[in-house]
Amino acid sequence: MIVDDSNVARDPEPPVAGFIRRLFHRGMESGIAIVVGSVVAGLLVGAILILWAGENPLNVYRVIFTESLLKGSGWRGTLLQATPLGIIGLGLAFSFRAGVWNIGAEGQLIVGTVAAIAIVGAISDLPGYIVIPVGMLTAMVGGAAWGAISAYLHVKFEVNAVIATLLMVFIAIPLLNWAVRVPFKDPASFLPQSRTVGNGALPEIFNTNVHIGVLAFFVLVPVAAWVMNYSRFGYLVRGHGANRYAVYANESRPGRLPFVLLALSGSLAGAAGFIQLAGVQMRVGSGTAAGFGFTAIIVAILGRNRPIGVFFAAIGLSAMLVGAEAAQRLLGLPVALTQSIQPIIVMFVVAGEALRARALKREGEREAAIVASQLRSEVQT
Amino acid sequence: MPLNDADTPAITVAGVSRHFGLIQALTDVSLECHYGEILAVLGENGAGKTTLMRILAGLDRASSGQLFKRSEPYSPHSPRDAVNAGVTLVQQHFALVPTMTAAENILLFRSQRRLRTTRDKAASDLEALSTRLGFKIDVDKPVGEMSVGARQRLELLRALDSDPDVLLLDEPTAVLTDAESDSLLEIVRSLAHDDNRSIVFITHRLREVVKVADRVVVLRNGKVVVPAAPVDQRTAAELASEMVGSEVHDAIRTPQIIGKPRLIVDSLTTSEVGPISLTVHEGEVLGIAGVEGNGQTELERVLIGARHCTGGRVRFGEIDLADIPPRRRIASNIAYIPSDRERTALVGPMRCDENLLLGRTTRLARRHEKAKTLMEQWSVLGLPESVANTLSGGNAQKLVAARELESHPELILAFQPTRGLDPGATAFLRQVLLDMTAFGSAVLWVSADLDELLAVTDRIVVMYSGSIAGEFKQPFDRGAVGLAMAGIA
Ligand SMILES: Nc1ncnc2c1ncn2[C@@H]1O[C@H](COP(=O)(O)OP(=O)(O)OP(=O)(O)O)[C@@H](O)[C@H]1O
Ligand SMILES: [Mg+2]
Repeated sequence: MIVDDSNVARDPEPPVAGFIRRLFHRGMESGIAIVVGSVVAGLLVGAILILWAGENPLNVYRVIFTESLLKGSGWRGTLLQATPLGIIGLGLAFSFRAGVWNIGAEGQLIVGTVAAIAIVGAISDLPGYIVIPVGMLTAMVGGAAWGAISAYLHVKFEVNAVIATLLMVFIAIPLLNWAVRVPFKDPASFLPQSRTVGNGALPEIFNTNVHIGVLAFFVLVPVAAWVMNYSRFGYLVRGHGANRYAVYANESRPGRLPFVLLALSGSLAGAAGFIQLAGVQMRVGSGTAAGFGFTAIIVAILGRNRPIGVFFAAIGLSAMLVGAEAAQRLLGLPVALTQSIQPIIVMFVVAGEALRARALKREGEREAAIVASQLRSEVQT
Repeated sequence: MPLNDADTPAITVAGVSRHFGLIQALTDVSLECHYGEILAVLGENGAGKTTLMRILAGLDRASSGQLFKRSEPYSPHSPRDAVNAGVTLVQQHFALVPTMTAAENILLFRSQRRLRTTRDKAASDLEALSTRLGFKIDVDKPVGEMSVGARQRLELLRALDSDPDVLLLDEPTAVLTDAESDSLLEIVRSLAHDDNRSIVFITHRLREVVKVADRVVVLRNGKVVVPAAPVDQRTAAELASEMVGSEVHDAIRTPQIIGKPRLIVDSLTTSEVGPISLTVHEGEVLGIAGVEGNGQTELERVLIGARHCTGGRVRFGEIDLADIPPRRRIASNIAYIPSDRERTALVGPMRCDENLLLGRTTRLARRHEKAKTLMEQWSVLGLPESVANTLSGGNAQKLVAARELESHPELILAFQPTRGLDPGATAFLRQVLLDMTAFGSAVLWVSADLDELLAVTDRIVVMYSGSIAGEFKQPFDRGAVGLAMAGIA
């Protein structure tokens, strides 16, 4: 249909309408609309499931909300979980934004943590201001190294990044199991677990029962947002995601940036691992592989690979995890049910993304050229 | 087969306008094209030609106005609608998937109800069609390995696959040499005059308009300034001045003082081409002529360090160009205008001002003001904050030239630099390049357009099937260069 909107657009619009229109436009552009829509849709589907289980969805959502965000113990738990998720998510956001699919953060986290305990376990009697930085650095180097191995496979042998990174997770898990049983096992314990971090434990923020790692996360978000949007590095990351060939022809050699990004996101995964170790768990055990590295993928996706988005996604997902447990405790609603909402949301996002891609594709020639070049790059990588 | 209905126009555009935000791309455009007719659409870069074609092909929607197909209201919502109504478009940029074969590409674009036709069927259809049009095509060859001319013919075949009665061609000859475009135009003429199709044809080459078009429409700033007039009594120069509203003076090479060697390509070989030896001196323009697909792309990739050579060297002063990362190349003040603009020169989804930073050391914070001056200087139609994807083809090319030539480079590697530019912009770019040689820049100028090379270069080297087939000095013997290009040395 041919719509005559030529007059409409020329009408001076009231400032509020203009603001809303721009907001809407920005939302569409960055895909926030898809995320918001998917969260609403996910909650609706979740409501049906809850109804089916014989509960009142409104009541359940109220419990999840108040228990995870309003109650003291709740928001503490929410923040503590959001921190590792968010820190890993920030690294993944950079990687994904550049089109480098690091889905092996779990392995990078594990290796970073194991590396950290190997050192920290030996020096845990030294003062905290030495142990903590050393542990943090070791964890970051360990995670970066694990990411770099994937990067090497990806760049040098052209192994698909998804496979190269995932593969290394399945090497990291047995490595962890071996590490806590043989070399770094606490001789005083019967369980397969390491020594404690001792003086490496992260201090609390003013008796809030929340360790300073949370603060690190809060500081990291605006830093990452600045880097992504205003720094040369962020510019290259965005450029690489949009058209890597232009970056290779004008900036750096092919493979350079994927290498850096896999190492960077690996080091952040390692950092998250150390924060979790020194802030919450105090020892490395088999449970160190708690799936944060995988959940963080969802955090990055829901956050649209934007640092601010990652921040809200991390808090939101973490609140759902905490709230789901509360709902089980208080209402007897199985955690499995409430937690199934999260993958449902992700499915909506993915579907919405596909629809958007189709709409874009219809936009025509210039986009067609891009789609073709993407297909080309997918076949090549 | 389309019906002949002499008085009913095949396609009618009635008062169509299209604006993108504040940009008015088309204003009240009306035109019609009859069966058996070739209608040429001329206009400067950004005049709205592509926008009009996209609306006709269902890729875009008019803001106001109406379309008619054989006097019936016609409002395609998607390319599929347009194809079903018998309207197809060959787009300005290649829209084929390079890793697929010709037959697979045809299959990919067939409508759903025909999806069940097999690849063999598509291949035999394709062969039959190409035979009927009088050329050969290798249906099982991946598109990426085809020459540009072959790809363009395949684009045409793909558009003809649904047997449309209205065929829209958006700059189909921009990438072709004269000989290639002549043969394409011959096909186009036969499609209109023998098959009685209606053809709308966009080009910046006026010679082609005079050659095949029956009538011509000129757009300027989204408005029709010359409503469909018969072509016969027009000359190219008249058309050119109507397009830009003033006369265009083509830059012509005047002899220059040639200095020391700047770029030395010394018996270069790769697995596919060579040996290639050539030298470009300070203040010199060296042209590389030849049908695309004769090793120019390989040479291009070696020169920018994207492909390893199996032998020989590419020297720029002390540096081996084949060996340095892109940033070093740019820091050495070497400009590079690539032949594949969309893929290597621009990041389509990023803003113009961000694209102007690619490879440069300008601070991100200064991008806006910088872009503003550069884009004004090169009269790029667009804002610093507009996304590069939304620029018209010619304006995108200007953006690339603006970025590459800003720092007054010592060596300019220009691959099809005027591709897609209108006559005015072409003259401007040529003049800029020639002026730079006066200050000692060395220019390597690769072009499919022999007339361009004859006008602007000091020497011409012809590439044929991967190596140098001849070298020519001023004054040039056009016939001899042409023979060398065809491989008849
Ligand atoms: N999606 C879009 N968003 C914003 N502006 C657009 C969009 N598409 C086209 N334009 C603008 O509309 C104008 C006309 O563009 P169009 O591509 O039709 O030009 P053209 O005549 O084909 O030029 P060329 O000869 O360079 O190919 C340009 O100024 C362009 O920037
Ligand atoms: Mg165009």
